[in-house]
Amino acid sequence: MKKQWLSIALGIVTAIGGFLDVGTIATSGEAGAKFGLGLVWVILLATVAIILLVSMIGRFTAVSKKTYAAAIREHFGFRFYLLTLGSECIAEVLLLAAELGGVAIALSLITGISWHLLLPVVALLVWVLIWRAPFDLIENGTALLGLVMLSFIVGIVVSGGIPRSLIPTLWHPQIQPGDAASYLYLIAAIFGATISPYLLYFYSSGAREEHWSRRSLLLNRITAVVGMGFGSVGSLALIILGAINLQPLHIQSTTLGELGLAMAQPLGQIGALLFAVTLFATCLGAALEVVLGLSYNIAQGFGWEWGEDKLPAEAPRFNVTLLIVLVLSTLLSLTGVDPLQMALFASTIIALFLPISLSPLLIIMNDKGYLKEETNGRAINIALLFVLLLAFAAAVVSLPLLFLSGGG
Amino acid sequence: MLRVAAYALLVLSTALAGCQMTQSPFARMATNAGAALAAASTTISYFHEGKLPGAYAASSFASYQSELAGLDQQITATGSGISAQDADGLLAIYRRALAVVEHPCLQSSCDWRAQRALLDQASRTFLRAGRQ
Repeated sequence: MKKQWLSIALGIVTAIGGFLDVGTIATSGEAGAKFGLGLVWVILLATVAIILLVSMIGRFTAVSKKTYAAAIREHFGFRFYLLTLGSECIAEVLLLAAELGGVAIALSLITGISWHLLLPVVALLVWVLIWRAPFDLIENGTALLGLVMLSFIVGIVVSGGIPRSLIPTLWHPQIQPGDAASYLYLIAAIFGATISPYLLYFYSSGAREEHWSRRSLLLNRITAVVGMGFGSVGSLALIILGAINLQPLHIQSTTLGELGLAMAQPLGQIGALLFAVTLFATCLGAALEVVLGLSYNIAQGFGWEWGEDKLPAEAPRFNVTLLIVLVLSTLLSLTGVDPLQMALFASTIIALFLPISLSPLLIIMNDKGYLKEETNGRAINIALLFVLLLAFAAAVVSLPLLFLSGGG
Repeated sequence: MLRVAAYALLVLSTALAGCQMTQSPFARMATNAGAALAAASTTISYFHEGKLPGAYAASSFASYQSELAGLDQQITATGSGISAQDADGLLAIYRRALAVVEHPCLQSSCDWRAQRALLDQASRTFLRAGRQ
């Protein structure tokens, strides 16, 4: 019993620390700096959606003992699986490039060395970790370090809290003439950044790596609801910091380093360094999850041996896939595109492909062959349909709005 | 999916352009440049006020440099929609501000206040140009 509560506590802490990544940091910071608290509602809505999706994926894997990727292949056939895989490959390779860039920028802010020079070092670090580190260390280590993001709350308190003048922007956003397209674009990008499908593939595979069963359903529910719920605190805190400390200075947070100014204002050098450490930990954690999530997806779909705790010789094709994904993303990030711009673009592409990634859930979560009496109830199905509608809306408008707004 | 996205682009363009809800490329460029210059001014101030480590400030200026590089071509582009006189004014202040961003005063021996004043002036000028 004590062991179960310990793993629940660890699961919650991991979910809180692992919520942020370069996409959520980029979109939240820019949202706060440009529109005050006017996009808080999107974060809240996206958080409810990701809680729903993660808890469903966890339940599916715990009961059926199958991963999401394997179920898609089995239930919908190889052609449909290739469609989901193709969209995932494009979106996640882009996102991984942005995460690697985020880690390099964080190290650059700490050391002063050019982030372009640090990129190969970062790629090597990620490769060593995925090659040698056990799953527990990857899942929990970086997420625990990511808890530094709670310092954002201290930053808000020391800044004097949320000024009264900002409160009305919660329901009446300050949208300047010409900025409506940018506001709408950020809605889609926040949605794409928060509901990244890699999280679903990673969570599902993690549940198998940790041998979840029906007895893990409580752990799954609490991790999803409490962990993801509190995890969104990081995104909300960034919006607030941007609104309080950047917007009055006309700073729009168009580079990652600018966001640290919002922490330096109240906390000085320590604040700036805490931001850089948070950026490092969250982007490193997300980079590991993305590269693993995509490789899990490929290995499971093709029926290869897989597992982070297996020796490379025991799962050779899985490990080669990890390396190929990492090399592709590293090459992409070496083109020199700013990681924040890359993150916004990746979030847009993720939003574009969201319906392809999420639609299978509606079918498999109602399949008694997999879930027996644990299939979705009517309320959950209605909620899932609502999330899918939002995903379709985000998919249709994301790319056009990217061009119209110039990327936020 | 692509057909739906293209249709959405058409509908959105019509709706947003009709309501003046998107910025022109020039206005967007000017606003972004103004914001980047404001960030550069804040960075140099925070560094000299002891709020920012030297490494952080140096790394940030490298990013501002990439963000601001090459704007002279956009300012002088024929489609910018501003007069030649306004373009010359913007170009002049842009070049002076870019020189500061390329060589920011991150020691105590140089005149960082003059650099900050120039960055502030350039930021205001670009933000104003973006609103016109």
